[in-house]
Amino acid sequence: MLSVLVVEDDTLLASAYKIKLTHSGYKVHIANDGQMAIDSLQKIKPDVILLDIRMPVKDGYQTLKEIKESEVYKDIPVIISSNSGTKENIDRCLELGAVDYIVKSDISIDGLVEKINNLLKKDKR
Amino acid sequence: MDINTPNKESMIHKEVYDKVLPYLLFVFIVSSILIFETISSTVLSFITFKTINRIYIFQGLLNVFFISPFLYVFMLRPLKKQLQENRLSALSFQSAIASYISSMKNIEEEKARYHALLNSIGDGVIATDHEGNVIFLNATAKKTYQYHNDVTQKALKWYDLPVSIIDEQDKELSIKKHPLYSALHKRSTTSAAFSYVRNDKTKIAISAIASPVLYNNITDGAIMVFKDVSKEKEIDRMKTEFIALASHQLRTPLSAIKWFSEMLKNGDAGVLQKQQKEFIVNIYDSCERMIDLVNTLLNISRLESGKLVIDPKPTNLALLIEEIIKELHPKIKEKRLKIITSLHKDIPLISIDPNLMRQVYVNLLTNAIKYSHQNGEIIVILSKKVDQNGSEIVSQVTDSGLGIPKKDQKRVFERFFRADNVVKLETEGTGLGLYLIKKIIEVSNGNIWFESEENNGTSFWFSLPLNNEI
Repeated sequence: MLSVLVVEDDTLLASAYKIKLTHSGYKVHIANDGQMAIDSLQKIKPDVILLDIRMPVKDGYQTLKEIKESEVYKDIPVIISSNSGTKENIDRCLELGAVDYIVKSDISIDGLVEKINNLLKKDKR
Repeated sequence: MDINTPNKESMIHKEVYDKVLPYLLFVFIVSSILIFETISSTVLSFITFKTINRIYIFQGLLNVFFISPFLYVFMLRPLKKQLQENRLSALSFQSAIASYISSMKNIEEEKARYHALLNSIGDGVIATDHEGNVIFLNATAKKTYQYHNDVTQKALKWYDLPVSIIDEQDKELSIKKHPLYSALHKRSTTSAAFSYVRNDKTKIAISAIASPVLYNNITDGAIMVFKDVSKEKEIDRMKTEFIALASHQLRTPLSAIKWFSEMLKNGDAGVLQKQQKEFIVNIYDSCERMIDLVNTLLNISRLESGKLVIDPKPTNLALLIEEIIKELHPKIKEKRLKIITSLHKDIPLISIDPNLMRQVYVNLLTNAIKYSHQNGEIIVILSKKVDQNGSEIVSQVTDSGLGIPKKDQKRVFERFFRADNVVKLETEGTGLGLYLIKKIIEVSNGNIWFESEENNGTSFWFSLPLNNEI
């Protein structure tokens, strides 16, 4: 079974992710900030990481940077799921190695799951 | 001017004149008496020895007698006239000098007053002659430039003032972009925002406007007024930051509502009864409206603060239009509308920001759908126009719906404006859509216009230049 690491500080959104992704057949791990995410990665190896930007303790940019710098999990695709959609933020994340950038309020949760499906389908090939 | 004012010079002439005339008169009288005496003596004694002397005396006296009037006519009278004229011209010369001196005094006073006026202006004022030499710096300008020398002493060019000028990206502003340059060399009034970096390394944000000084239709110099806008910039930055923060804060709960109502709607938490589904659809739709509003507000605030980053990419407009029509399909089906598209085949990829263009079309099409009647028709046209000014893309969206009443037509692009006939129909709608897309079109160097008749539909057109130099 494919697994997703969801890094999201808002508890409601995190639970929405968990419900929907579990319903769609994924194993879901939740981290509430960047540091928790890095810690989780010591124990599990997800197939895709869904990463928020604005988080306490360690924000999305820093987390993304660390993921891409680690030997163990730099190849795990990271999708940024944020509510800021400025060009600067998008460019910065793509430069740091994210494969996609989603504005949460502009996408349906079905659409988000579809993106993850398509991404992992591509990877499988 | 009092022409009868006596003065020393004319009085002297008058004295001379007054002395000469009596003398002549005396001569005339004396000679008359002597003549009479001579005649009477001559009568008494015929020609004797004395007679010859008397005849000589008589001749002499005759000469004097007859010469006097000639003297008078040919010397005295002209002299008198001349003296009078001299007196007059001396008087008028004198008063001319007096009025000249008083005018000069007035001019000096006025000059000093204007100087004081200019100097007291709270903003900085710098004036140059037609060659760009600084001829005036008011007190605020001197303080800003930290330059307190007399500007009239030596030729100081406006670009040699002791400040360096940097643009909003912190790069040195090229001279050609400076408003004083445009004023002096292009005779145009322009404004600009830049920053001064002074010798003591302090940086001041400046807003300036410069215009040419025209005299007899020739550029005689230029004048620039500038003000320190550091405070305004700070307030602006805080405003933009606040709006950005608020928008993001708002988006998070909105996302939660959106996703949970979507999952409920789709039956992820169990099958819904008809009314339950209805309610949840209402919640979902309202949430979408709020998300739209937040997005629009965010875009408007970015556009207005000049911070909207336009990301032009080669875009296939026809494809974009078709995508959007597909997305809007549910709403189109709901009203049983017919969409007719005429998307010209050989329109090249146009260099524009696809996200902004998407907003334009979503807005125009959503409006067309919203304000159409059941079974109405919407036409979307995309064409290319070529003329001597270049080539451009013209796009049209026409509906056969509510239309815009004539009295409201000049306000449709206003922020928050909604015409009465649509407000009566539905309270939805923020009145921000057209305002936003007009700004987007304008910032892309295009034009937007429309034609409409109440109850007879509306057509919107917009054009975009094909050779887009941003």
